[in-house]
Amino acid sequence: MREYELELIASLAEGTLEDETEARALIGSSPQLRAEFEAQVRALERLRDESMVTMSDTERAALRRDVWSRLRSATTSAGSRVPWYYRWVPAAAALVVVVGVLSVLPRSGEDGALETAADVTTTAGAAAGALDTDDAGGEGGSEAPAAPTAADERALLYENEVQRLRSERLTDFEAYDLEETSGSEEMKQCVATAGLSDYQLLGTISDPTAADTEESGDARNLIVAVPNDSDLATGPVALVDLLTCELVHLEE
Amino acid sequence: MTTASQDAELLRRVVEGDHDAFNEIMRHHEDRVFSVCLRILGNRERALDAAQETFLTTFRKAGQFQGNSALGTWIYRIAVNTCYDQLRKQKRRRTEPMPEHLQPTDLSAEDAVESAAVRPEIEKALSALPSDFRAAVVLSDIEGLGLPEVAEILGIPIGTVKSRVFRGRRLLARDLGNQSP
Repeated sequence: MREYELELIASLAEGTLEDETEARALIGSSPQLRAEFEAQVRALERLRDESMVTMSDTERAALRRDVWSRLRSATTSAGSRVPWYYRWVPAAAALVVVVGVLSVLPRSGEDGALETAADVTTTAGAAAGALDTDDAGGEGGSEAPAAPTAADERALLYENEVQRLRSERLTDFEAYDLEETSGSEEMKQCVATAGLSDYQLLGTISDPTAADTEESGDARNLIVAVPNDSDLATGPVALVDLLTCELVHLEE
Repeated sequence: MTTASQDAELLRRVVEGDHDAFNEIMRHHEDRVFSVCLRILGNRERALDAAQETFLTTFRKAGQFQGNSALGTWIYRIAVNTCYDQLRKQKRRRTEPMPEHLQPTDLSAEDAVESAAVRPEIEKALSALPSDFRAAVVLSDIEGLGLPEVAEILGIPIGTVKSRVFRGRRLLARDLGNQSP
């Protein structure tokens, strides 16, 4: 059947032709075309008989709960994310204390004074270590290794997910066809907003840290990106939150 | 106040953080978003996921809405694109279906019986269509939207919509046109 004939028969079946003469003549000219017309009329009637599907009360409640849960979660994580330079704050504070103390000490080289300075350095180092631990479960400060914090666990989950992507990228990783994906331009903007304007998009994945929460583990909400001159194998891989456009993980 | 100005006002309130405004948008559009997603995806749970993603995207992009189309059209466009993403994801996963006796119980199944459901033969016939044809047929013939609006939602010319609808309908006629209702 030619395109024109198809259009004529379909239009006749849906009743939108102003002048049906030509279409009626066409279906009268061939039993196959008449059968096609009648089948289309029946199919169309059945489709139009379908009422709009509505959600059940349970589904409606679940939809609203999950949407708000994820919006609140995104807002909270966006608000609690710590800028990268915060990790240097304890060290900088310690340095300022040491320099300050040294600058007010007499320059006589007395043992007592040196001991005092050494004490201060140690104390400041310990303080920095303590602050490090508070901030991100960092290194040093106390003799016993610090327990992993939530931030450490998240970082580990992200790192594992990136490794999984690397190992399974040929079979399981869903790369976006950027030419076909209408959202790709927005995702590029999102990656640029995260400060990665020289990165290319590879696709999206589910947030591995959301799997244990109420959030849907199946929702793809992290953009995977790598620098323009590299790929998934060579990295470094960056993960950007699709909702907030914030960088959540960047391989070193 | 016109619908367009009401839409713009609602979105302005959403951008300013007014939760009631966003709830109003959800209340107004959630059933049709779910309906479109269910017809395209053929599964209530996945349709619910897609509806969730659709509203999250709507919230995130509320500030980008230009007002060139109706709010509903814009939201359904997001919904259809979300469904396409899910279909692509499903296709690439290539997982084997779980045996029926091992399928987890659908907690909403009993409840869903009370709400309107897609008739199995329609669902089966729709699922056999290529996704581009399916979306065009669903929006045009089931949801009853006009060709210009379908064209806007799918981001394609009206002529292409017509062609997809006609071809989709022709394929459906082979299944549905020869069955008694």
